[in-house]
Amino acid sequence: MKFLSLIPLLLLGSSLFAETPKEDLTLVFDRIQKDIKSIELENGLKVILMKRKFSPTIACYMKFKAGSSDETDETAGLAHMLEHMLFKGTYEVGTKDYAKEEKYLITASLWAERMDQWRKKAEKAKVAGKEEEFKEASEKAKLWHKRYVMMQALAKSFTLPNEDSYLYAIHGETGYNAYTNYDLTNYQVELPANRLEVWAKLESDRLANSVLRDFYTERNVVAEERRLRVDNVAQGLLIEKFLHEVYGSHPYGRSLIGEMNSILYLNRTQALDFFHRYYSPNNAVISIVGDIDFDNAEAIIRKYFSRFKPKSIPERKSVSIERKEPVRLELQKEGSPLYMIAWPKPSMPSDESLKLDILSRLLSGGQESRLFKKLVLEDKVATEVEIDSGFPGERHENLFVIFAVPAQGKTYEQVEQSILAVLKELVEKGITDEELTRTQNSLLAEFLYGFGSNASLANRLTYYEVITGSYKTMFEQYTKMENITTTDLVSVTKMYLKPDYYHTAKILPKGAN
Amino acid sequence: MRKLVFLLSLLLTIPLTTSAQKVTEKKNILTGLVIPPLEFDTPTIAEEKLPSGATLLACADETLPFFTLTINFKGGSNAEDAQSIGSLSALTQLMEIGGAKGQSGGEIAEVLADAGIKLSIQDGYESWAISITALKKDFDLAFSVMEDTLLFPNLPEDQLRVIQNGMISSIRQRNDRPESIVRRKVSEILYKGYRRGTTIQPSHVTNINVKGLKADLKNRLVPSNVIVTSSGDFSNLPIRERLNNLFSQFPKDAKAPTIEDPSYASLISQRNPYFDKIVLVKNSVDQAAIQMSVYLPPHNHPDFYALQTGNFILGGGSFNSRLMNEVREDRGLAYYASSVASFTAQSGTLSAASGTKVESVKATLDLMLKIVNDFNTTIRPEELNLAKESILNSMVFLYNTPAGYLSQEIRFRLHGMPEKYLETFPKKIQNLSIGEIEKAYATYEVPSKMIIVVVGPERLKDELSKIRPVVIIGPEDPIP
Repeated sequence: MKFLSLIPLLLLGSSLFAETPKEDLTLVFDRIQKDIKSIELENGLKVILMKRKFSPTIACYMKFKAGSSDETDETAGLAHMLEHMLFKGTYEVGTKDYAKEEKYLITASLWAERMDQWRKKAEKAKVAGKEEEFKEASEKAKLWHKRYVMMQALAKSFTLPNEDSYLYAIHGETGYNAYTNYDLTNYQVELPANRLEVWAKLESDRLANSVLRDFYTERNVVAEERRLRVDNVAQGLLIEKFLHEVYGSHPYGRSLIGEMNSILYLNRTQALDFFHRYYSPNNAVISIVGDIDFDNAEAIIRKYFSRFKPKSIPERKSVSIERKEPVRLELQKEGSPLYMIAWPKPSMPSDESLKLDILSRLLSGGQESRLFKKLVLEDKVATEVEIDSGFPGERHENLFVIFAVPAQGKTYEQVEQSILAVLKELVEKGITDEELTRTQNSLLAEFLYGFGSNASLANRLTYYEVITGSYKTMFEQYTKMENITTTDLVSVTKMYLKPDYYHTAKILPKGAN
Repeated sequence: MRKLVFLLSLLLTIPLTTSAQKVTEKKNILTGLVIPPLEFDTPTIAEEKLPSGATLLACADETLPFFTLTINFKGGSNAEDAQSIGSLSALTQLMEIGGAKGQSGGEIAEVLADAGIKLSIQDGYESWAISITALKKDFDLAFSVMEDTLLFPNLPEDQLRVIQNGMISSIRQRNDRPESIVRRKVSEILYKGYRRGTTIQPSHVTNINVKGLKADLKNRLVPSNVIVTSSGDFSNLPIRERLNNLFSQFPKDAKAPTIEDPSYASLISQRNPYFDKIVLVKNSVDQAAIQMSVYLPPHNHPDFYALQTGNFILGGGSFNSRLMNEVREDRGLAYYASSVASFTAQSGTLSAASGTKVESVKATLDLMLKIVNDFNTTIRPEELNLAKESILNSMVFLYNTPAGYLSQEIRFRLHGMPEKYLETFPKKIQNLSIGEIEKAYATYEVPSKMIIVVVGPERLKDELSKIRPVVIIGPEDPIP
């Protein structure tokens, strides 16, 4: 399950058809948008339907505006943990008899929380050097663990593991999965086109009736996921530490998956609280893309999702990054070299963010791009270079990050100097109209080619709706692009990619000075 | 291969309604749900044999005004010999960035970007392909760039050095993740002495030279080895004419690459010395990686259906499979626990893999072995039913995009799948019995002939020795 955020796609295209009227492109977008219908139910649930008839399949995506940035320091990793738990069934799905299961499930949960309390006490005592206290607390933790295991076994005797997967599999699913990032959580599946009601029934049941069973077994699974993606991988650890250094107590400063000692103390009560707080129809967006009929699809969605009542969602304001001394992070760990250089920037859908997105493509879009030419071909200081403009999320002020892999025998300092030289040259000598047009054209082409996939479309439509409030931003941005000039791009470079204020991170071999 | 144009039309109505009735027989939240029928005519692939001997397959989708054209060549890195390991990857990259017909790579990249044309070259194990995606109006430009790249690549020396640096950098990065180490070492053991089991080393990279790359490219340009696929909106485009002209310029003295892929029979004729051992690849990680693998027959073997369906039950069916259920769901031992049955034209492999914290390696491996051991004799009817329904009901996704559909067709042809393979596939799956699957798994000696590789710290040796004798190597050590 992925935890990196979606890089927002751009729409540009003032002069894609250099020799044909601009209207050609408008016609294409008009054609695409005619196949889209958006609805908002009375309870605030937003639905975006899109017809694509090539194959008799549908992609069904549902996003909640609830991600890692909505946690607290004590519950870091909870949004992702909850995502796992929503695959554990409901009152009806995943159980032989919930009426009998419930008491064991709740008791097992309570006893697990007691076990955790004693584990925490034991840890504190150990750190403080209090032998007796540590011994007593450890014994108590073991006792409650034993009790929990016994109660969990009783609860499990009533469960049907993975019944949701079973039901989707019988109906020919592919891609049944989910992901969490800092801004949101996404649930997805693709099905044959005659199975929309299967999806609606299962997903509405998930939203209404999830019971979060097997929490403490799944907690261990999430711990393994952290080892796989972060602890075992120098780059994963570097990024986590870097965000913490740059953002501090900001919502983006926490570990997305949670530190290990956070994960291992998350509990079911916290997860239920997060679920009830944020998983509300007025905090969600659905997209169905594929071989659908608008009226039929709308009728099915209303049938299953109208019953939900909106909730009062806690207000979440956009937070800026506190300005402090530039971060210079060096991580000593075995792993391949990686260099990061980053600047704070405004998030979508600001004009500045859009200009920086275009700039990122101009700098690092392909082998015609400036950074590739300079770092890889000319100076030969790097073997790879890419940019994430909008890291790690888009609900708050974020970062423009350049990643580079130094070439054999080259230093991080050389990489940094080459990058800064590219930016300096851009500011001093500007950008040509041809370069801007080229960048716009390739971005637009890439956007159009992406229309070949139901899943990709459903993902993007819901993403823009959640982050910007309207999926139409995805299309409207291209008209904005027409008005962006080379001067604009030079200005944002001067304003945000300053040569005297940036953060860096690098991996050093263990023992390196 | 046919000379005349005709429509390869699979008028297949997939019986999706019948499975819905089976679902509703078992009472669950979906019981009583009425599923409307799904009548579907599979998309048409038009096939044509060109005068040069190449084959053209086309699948139209005129929703948007762009097309994709791919020239697929039989033979990928499986055509490399001991002296040319890594050369196809280098050639691919050099063709992409090196420019053609006197224009530099940067100049060509600018031309392509100006028009929003995507040119890509992909190197795989069994095939190699060059592809363009472009708006219809840019067909001529896109095709010309592709043609020049194939026929007149610059292949500049200085750019080759950049690529070689990049390849060596990749070699340095390949031990970053234990799960990629374990996959590599399994291949080295299973295919020792063959290209597939030969891991690229820096010395291979430094051996690569422009002269060798030119010779390699020349010998790949054999029209009878080519299948062209065209998807999207290509109506009224002069594809045929341009292809005929392109293939007429292929070198007349090109010799198609020799592919020495070991057959299943040759692989099992030699007793692999690691069948009864565990290879421990020492690596100080928090989470160890485990993989168990065994040889399977090629893709077009009659046992393929039983093996693939069995794999769904064992570990390929995600949360519906035994490995995931018992290793992850029941015990929380791992984030992933799955199996894959993969096939080429000559042989296949079944691999079960997992990753778990170091303290749980023995417990996880014991459990995986037990699951695989028990598999041959304990398949339940409901497991088989689920596998069948899932496989058959998800068949529509073969046709999800025209490019994807054509890509599958290429694979089926490279693997010599029977004629009307997709038409007969549903019935073959539907008719499978538990006995046939169990017999197939017994035939290929799962798990007694599985090799086991673990990537983790050296201190695991004592524990793992209780399962099988342990051989310890480093990630870059050759297989003893």
